[in-house]
Amino acid sequence: MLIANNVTWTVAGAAILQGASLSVVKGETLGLVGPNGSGKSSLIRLLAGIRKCTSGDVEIDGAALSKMCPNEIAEWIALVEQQAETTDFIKVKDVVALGRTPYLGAFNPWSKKDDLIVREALMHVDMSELSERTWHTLSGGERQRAHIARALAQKPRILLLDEPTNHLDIRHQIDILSLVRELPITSVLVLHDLNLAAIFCDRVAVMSKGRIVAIGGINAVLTSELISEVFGINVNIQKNKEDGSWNLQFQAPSKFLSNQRQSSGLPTKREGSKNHFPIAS
Amino acid sequence: MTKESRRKRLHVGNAIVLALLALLMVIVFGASVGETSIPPEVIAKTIGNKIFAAGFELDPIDSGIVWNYRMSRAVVATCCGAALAVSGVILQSLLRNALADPYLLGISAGASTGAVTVAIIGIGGGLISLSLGAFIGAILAFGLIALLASRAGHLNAYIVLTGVAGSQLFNALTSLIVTKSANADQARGIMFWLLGNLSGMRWSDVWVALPVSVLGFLVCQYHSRALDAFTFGRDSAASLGINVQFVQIVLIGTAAMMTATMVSLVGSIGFVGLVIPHVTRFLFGGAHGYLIPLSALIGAIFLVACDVISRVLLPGQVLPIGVVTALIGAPAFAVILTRLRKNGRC
Repeated sequence: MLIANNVTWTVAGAAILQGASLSVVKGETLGLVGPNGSGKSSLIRLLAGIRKCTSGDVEIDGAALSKMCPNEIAEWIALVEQQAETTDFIKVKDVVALGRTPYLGAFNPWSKKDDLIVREALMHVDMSELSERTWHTLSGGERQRAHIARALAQKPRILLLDEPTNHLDIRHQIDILSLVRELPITSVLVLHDLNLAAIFCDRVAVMSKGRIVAIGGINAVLTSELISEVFGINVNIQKNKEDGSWNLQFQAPSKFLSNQRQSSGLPTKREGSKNHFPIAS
Repeated sequence: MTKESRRKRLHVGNAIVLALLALLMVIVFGASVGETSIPPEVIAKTIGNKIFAAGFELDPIDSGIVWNYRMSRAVVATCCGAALAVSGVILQSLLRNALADPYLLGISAGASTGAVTVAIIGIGGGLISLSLGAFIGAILAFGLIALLASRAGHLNAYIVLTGVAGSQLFNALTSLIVTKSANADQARGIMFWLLGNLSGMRWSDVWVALPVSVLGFLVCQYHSRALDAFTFGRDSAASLGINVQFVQIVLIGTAAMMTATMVSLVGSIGFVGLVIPHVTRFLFGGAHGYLIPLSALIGAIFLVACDVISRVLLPGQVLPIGVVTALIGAPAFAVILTRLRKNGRC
């Protein structure tokens, strides 16, 4: 449905993306994971068509994004950014109404249909009651839900989300990702938390140094060897055989764990023992 | 359309009608006060004669003062107030910078350099008027700043920086020329022009100001939905299907042309382009479909009123209008901000 063919993106001589390729299957939720600076956000911007590839191309249903006009792309793809903020005095429903921009023009004024779509989008994210609230009165989680509603009002076939859970507490992270997972839409999301990626994504693509080094199902891709190689940390993956849930634990540097145990009155670790703590429940 | 959006449109529609009436009243009032006080009835009859050939019998001197001096001046003030306010809206919205004003692009500084080059150094040998010199200076300065910003790679981030740096350069050049070459009278005249001066505006000036401001307004109004899409920044606008680069070039270019034209006619009148957009946004919200026409009207009313005050505040003396716009506008803005904060609007 959405394909990146060997895309590169260079800024001021620095190669941010170096031949990244992926294919997004209709209806799936694909997670993009990787260390900081690996090119996840850049790739999502190329997929959204808001940056132009230096070489290679992005295709949607066989048509190159570079040949499509911005309006056409916006009818296919919506993007939710990490933390898009405004100082404007704007109501939630007006934020969501921005999603109708690609469909409006001098000869296509706002109509009842647009009103209906905005109401539906607000209902989807459970924000109908907050529609009259102003932006600056919303919490971080509510703002992100409003952005998702705005993206849904765009009526896209593909939803791209760049770290949608950034700066949110764990409950709101799970709320947002549950919401995205339940939407009847193809989605690609950049995530930092590997446990959350394992829970909410059908497939993951692991990025490193501007390249996609692995893509596929969770079991096949999120191996301790690959995570160790890409992130430079040691992990222990535990899988619950009963419910199939995942738990990735990373090994803490021994000196910090030792301090933690001493200060909490717990016995200090023994030389050579392996100590782990979970990064998410 | 929902009941609520109908109500909102009605509310904004009322505001536009009221603002148009207020503008008409302030223009008539402005035309009636001055060294010679002229009754509003004469003003109405003069307008009737000139526009509709109504054939009222009037004293030709009164009629001449009203039509040739005060009305032309009021229409230029209307165009200028509207154009500066709309330019302010455009730049604040596109650059997502609350401090952006029409002079951010170095236009005022370039215009002053152009003006002093013509008026003091005498470049053009008398063939180039002060206004044309100012216009050329403004456009050259803007061109230089836009070129530097685009070469730096990111228009939004660098146009503010290059604008500030460019303005400093052209202000320094103006000071250099004034200090080195101007006599006391020329220096005083230039200072007066730099602070804004609507004296001497005739119908020939109206025929420059009116088409530029009307055309500029229409271009900006046409792009009002695109400007809404910039609420959450450039990338957000791009993801909503806006051709960001094209819209930025067209709208910044339009704001620059409007500002350069107005500055070349009346000098740099501060405050209007910075504060009127904020006041309008606070009063009527940030939807550009309403914000642009209402800013234009409020800017026009404000400038025409300030022009009247600048003529009557000190008997026998006309204050530079830039002084009046700041002296009245700054406290008025503070009051509006305080009231809105009390009502939880900001």
